[in-house]
Amino acid sequence: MNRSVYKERFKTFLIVVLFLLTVLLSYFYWQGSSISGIKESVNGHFSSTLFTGEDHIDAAYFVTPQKVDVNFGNGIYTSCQELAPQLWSDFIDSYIAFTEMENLMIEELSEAQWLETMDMKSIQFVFEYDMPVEFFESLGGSNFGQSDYFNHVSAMALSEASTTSLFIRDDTLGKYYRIISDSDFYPLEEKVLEISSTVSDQYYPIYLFLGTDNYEMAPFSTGILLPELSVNKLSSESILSSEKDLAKTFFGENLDFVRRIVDDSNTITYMYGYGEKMLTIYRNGIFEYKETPSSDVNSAGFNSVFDTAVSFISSHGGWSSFGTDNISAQLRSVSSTSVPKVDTYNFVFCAGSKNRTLYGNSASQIAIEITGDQITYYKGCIPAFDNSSFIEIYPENTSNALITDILARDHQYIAQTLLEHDIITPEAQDMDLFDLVVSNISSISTEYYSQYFEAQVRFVPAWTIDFSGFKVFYDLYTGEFLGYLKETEQ
Amino acid sequence: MEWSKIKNILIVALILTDILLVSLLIFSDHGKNDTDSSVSVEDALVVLSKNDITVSSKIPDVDPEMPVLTLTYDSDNGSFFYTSSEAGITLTENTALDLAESFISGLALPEAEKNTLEAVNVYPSEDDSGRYVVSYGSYYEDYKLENSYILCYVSSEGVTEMLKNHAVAEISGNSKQKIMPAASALLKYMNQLKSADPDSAKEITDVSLVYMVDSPYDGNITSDTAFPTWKITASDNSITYISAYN
Repeated sequence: MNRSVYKERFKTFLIVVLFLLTVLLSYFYWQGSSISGIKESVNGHFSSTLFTGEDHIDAAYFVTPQKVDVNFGNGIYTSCQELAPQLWSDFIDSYIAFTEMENLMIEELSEAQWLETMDMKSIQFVFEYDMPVEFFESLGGSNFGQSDYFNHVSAMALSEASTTSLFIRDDTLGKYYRIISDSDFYPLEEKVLEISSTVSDQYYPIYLFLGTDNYEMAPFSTGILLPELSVNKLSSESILSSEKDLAKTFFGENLDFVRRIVDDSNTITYMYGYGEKMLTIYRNGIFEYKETPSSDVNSAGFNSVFDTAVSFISSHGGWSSFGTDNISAQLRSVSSTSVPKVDTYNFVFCAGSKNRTLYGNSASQIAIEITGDQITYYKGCIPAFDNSSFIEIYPENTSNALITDILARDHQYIAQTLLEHDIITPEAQDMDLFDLVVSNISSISTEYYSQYFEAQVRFVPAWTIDFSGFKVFYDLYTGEFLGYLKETEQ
Repeated sequence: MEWSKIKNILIVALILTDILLVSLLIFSDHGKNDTDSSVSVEDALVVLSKNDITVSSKIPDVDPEMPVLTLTYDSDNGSFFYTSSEAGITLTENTALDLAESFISGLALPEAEKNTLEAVNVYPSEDDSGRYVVSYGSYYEDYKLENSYILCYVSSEGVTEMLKNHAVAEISGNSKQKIMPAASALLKYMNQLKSADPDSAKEITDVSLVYMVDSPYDGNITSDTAFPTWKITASDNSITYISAYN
């Protein structure tokens, strides 16, 4: 090959390189960047891998029912917690097919009709929060435009009362609906049979066993086997050693011009401007980020806001704070307030294992507030646990303490505690205390309760009796009282 | 036309385009930095005087770029009371200053730190005790640290009380940032003044560049960040701080 051929090849190569460079420079110019801005973005991209190394996570991943109540018919029930994500995932395909059907019709049901429907062979996906209906519209086909009728979905259900219908409960409105299609869309019989062969726990409506007017499902004979979880704590120095990496995710690579304040409790505060953006990192690793809402904040739909929340948490280390693959994040609360022009949404995510929440451990909670399209509050935790020390401890005695025994033994103490925390009124004490406690139960489930030791945290499997957000915890195996929490103190 | 010539033309065109784009990006960088530097002191003084603001002090020249400082407060800051054996001294500003100097030299502070302290003011105490207050300021190079001070209350018996809020300053990080010239700071001051009261008139008696912490913070601070700030003092003793970073 002679020299001129090499020369021509080199020219071709040079043209390609110059063309790519032109495209890149045009992009930066179009974005309004400057040379210093480009440098910052390049540096920022490669910095803080501890906090930004997570791939994009689909927001829908965090939305799973807390439990799936199954009525096998003939007065036999169960409630699945650990299996709930799997059952929900299986259901989604049928749900999408349903929402793509033509001629869907909606009908409001009375509470009595709902109870009657659920009293037949049925499967009910129960969420712990009222999820805006826009989320479910985005999951499904274009024909599921139901936000004109109801705003939230608290539970979705299927019943042999009408196998061509999807049943919806909206606890925010206190209303019940059924959406009717032309044909069957979910193999209810097959699924119920499948669940009955894998789950042996028996649940019953509370009124059946305890005689009060309470239709919530409760376990009265179970064989739940949950391990205790144990993980070593990292030292305060070790946790705070990554505070600058965290701060860089909020304020950029160069922190030299961001005000940094350390107080005598070793709390570190980063402040931008006159407090327009503020990051406070406490010595236990918990941090709070606050941003003053800007005057030109734009309104955004729920799904966009939810995606923004999940992406923001991903890029600021949120999900890694749980520190171990055995513990994952779950959406635990959604609420919104409307202020003039824009909505403010609040999301709370909690660490969980086996679809059970780890309660009583502030390091396992992520809270985020979005005003319009702007993040205005974010609370998370720098990884505070030694990932490699995580172990599951299975009990020697695997029989569960009976919830009926616990209620019979401790109903007076529970009533007194509920009274002290204004969950019940003093006048209510005129009722029989046992009936008073039982009638106020909003759910009974198995969760984890955190116990702190000098060098480690243990998450103890616990019967969790919920009284409208006030949770009382008892050891799953021994029935010993563990503690109580208000919803806001998770 | 031959392919080889077309390639040559393409290469030249792309190189020229890239040079143009790089120039535009660099130009936009300079544009950001030079926002305020075009205001001359003379122009500023003319505008100020037209708005009833006179400047009787020297307007300082400062380094064009300055870093921020990390202030680490002494762990023993607070109020301290002393009894002294000194007696029979007639208390004047000068004797008060001498007594305070002697007291400061005996303080348990590193020598390097003592060298950054400078008596900035001596004035009668407002508590009717007949004492003088000798106020010491800390300096980083030639710049006063507004949030670091020692107040010595001096009676004829010597220093009887000390209020200490002393911090050690060091450069935070490696970066420096362009400083807003004094002329621009004075114009900002004028805008603030006139937006509050359009008829106000002032005589500026001092313009200086200091380091200070931006805003208050609830809690006992052990370390904070101080930024270059213009301190503008008027004849009515009012003090206005203007951030010196653009």
